[in-house]
Amino acid sequence: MLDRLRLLFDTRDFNPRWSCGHWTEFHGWIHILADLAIWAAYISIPLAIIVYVVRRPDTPLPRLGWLFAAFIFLCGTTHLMDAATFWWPAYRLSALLKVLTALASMATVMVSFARLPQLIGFPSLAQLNSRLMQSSEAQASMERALTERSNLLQIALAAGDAGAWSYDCATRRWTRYSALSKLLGLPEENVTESPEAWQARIVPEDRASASAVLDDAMRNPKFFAMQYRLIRADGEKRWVSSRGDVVTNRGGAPVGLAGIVTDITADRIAAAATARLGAIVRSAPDAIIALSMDGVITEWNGGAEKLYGYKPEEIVGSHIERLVPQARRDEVAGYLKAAAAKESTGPLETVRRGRDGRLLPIELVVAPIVDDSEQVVGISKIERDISDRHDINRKLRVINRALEQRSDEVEQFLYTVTHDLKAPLVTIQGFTGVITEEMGAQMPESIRDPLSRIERAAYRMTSLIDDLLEVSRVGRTPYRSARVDTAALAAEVRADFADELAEKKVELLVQGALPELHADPIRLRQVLDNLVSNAIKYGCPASPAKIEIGGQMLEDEVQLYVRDFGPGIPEKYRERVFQLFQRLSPAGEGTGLGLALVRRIMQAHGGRAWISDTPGQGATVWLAFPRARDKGSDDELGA
Amino acid sequence: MNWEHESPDPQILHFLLIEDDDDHAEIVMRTVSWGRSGNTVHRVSDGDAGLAYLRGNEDAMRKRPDVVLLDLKLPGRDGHEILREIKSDPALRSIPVVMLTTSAAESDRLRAYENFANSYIVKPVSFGRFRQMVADLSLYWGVWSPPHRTDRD
Repeated sequence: MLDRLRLLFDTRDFNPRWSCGHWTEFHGWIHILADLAIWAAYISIPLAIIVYVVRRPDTPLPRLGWLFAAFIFLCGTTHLMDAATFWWPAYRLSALLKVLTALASMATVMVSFARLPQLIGFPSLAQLNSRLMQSSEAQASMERALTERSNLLQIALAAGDAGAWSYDCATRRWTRYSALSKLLGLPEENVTESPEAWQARIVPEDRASASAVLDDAMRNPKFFAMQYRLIRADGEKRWVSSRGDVVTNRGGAPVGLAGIVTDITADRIAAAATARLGAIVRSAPDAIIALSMDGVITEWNGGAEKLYGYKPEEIVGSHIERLVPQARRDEVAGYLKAAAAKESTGPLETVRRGRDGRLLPIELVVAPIVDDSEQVVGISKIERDISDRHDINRKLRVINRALEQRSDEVEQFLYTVTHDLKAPLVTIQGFTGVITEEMGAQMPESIRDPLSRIERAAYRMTSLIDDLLEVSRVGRTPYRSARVDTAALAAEVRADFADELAEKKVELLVQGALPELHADPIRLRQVLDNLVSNAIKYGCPASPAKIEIGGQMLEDEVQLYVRDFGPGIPEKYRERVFQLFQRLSPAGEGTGLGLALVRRIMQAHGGRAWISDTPGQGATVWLAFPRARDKGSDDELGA
Repeated sequence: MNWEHESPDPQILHFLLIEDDDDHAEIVMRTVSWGRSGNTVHRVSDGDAGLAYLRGNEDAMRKRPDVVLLDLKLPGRDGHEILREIKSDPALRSIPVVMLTTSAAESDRLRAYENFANSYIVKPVSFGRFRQMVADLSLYWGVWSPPHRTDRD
């Protein structure tokens, strides 16, 4: 081995290069110096690579670095050998170095090609730099966002009177954070205490249910929410909403709880008050309806549904006039206007139409809905069904039956009284007649006048008894309702009064086509006779004159009128003239029972009678008959 | 049953007046005989007496009345019942019955006509009208030949 090593350095078989060939000094030294310079460089580069690889442990592919260092170093040694062989021809050593260099370079080439894709994928420094810049910006903005969120969370917790807490199963410690401490009326700080200490802050009645919710959440990890009452440091009880979730470890096993507690006392109080009010409104037997300012229905309670038969979804959004018969539309305009002026209307008795078309007698009260800023934002309307007073009606029926029994007795009584009252009158008048006849022309004026006064008084008494009997009969005797041809009736009346009309030069006009109606024909005739007679008597002071009969058909009523163009009736007397024995004319002209009879007859029809001005001058007497529900049947009207 | 009509003048009538009120009876009797001699009146105060007179079981000398004037309000059985009895008796139903009453009630009027009253008159309140009434009755029932006369003829 030693011999072989010695052979490497044995130069006896070779000549130095200077002596091989014809080297000029210059040519030889260029070779020598260039080789030495290359060698120096090839020593330095591996050193730099090694220093880099050693100093930077994160260098990608450090082994490739080492391979390059070795290959370059070996290249350098071959150049050193080339320079040395000018004086020391150790060509065997030189060959060995070249073989080693070749091996190292082949290995380097192979490794380089194998790692080429990886090398190509390495980012450039510029790329690395920009990435670095980006990631640091993202981090900064994330930090900003986190800070912001943390601030927001603090604000939110504070604004919502919310306090956070957490519970650690391992340590059995319960931590409340400052906001929750504040909620409890304690110093604002984070405090850790035992679960029992926390339980003591819950109102005793609520403890069991609160524990049950948390235990359940722990057993089946899930979000939980509940409400209970807390006792503040000052002893005050507050309703809170507690919500939270189970905290689990990476394996999903529950290790604790965390949650938020919010003070909802004000909400509970408000909700309870609202619920109470809501229940009152819902369960109220009266119809409670809210309207917009222009009369559109916005709320509709159970009472309203029951009264009218419309469900809320069928009627909300409709105009209130949908429920109002044509003849009553003015009322709506009236109370809408009043409500806009912050004024209430009612109680007002009126009539509305239900879903089935029936007319409903109701009593209503309308009031404006005023908000905190004193603005009218809507209209509330309470309506009561006044037809549905069953108890009263039942009692009335019982009383009615008793009255009907009595009525026969009364009839008998009245009949007897009338007959017996009239009998002496027949006697008085008969014998005054006898006296007149017997004395004839010989009767002195001093007797004739008193005698005629007695006769007139007896005559008036007779009329009074007849009319009174008639008035009393109207309310008591049942009568038939039938379809009445009003035009024919008016013609009959005109024919009956023909003499009087001609005598006073009064023209009786029928205005337009009279509406058809359902009434008792004989009673209606009595009414018209009375009114026309009155109109001729009191409404036609000058002749020629005019009387008008007319009428109109409304949705729920048929109206007739008898109109004169006389002096009219002052407003203050318009009701009084319908009372018994009330007269505007001097005593002696009629009994004062005519209009009382008219009103009694109209009431027996379920209708009305009233007086208004004739446009211009005069009096107009109006009659209103309810429109027949079923036009096919002639029903018996009440006794 | 021997009815005799004594007057040859068809306008001279014999009345049966069934009336409980003496004053009214007096007025009727005065008006019936007023100015026209010959008209006669037999007055009874209740319905049963009237029926007895009509059936001839009281007075052999009675005359058959040409017209019955019947008040409604009578002691005992009232005018409606008496009317019904007269009109359901074949021997009497042909005699005209005029209701003469103070009642203007529609029910009384209807009931009277249902029971075949020949006329219904509300007692007039003046003597003049009373007289006119009797004159009208005489004229009507006298000129018109009642069935019982033709029976006899």
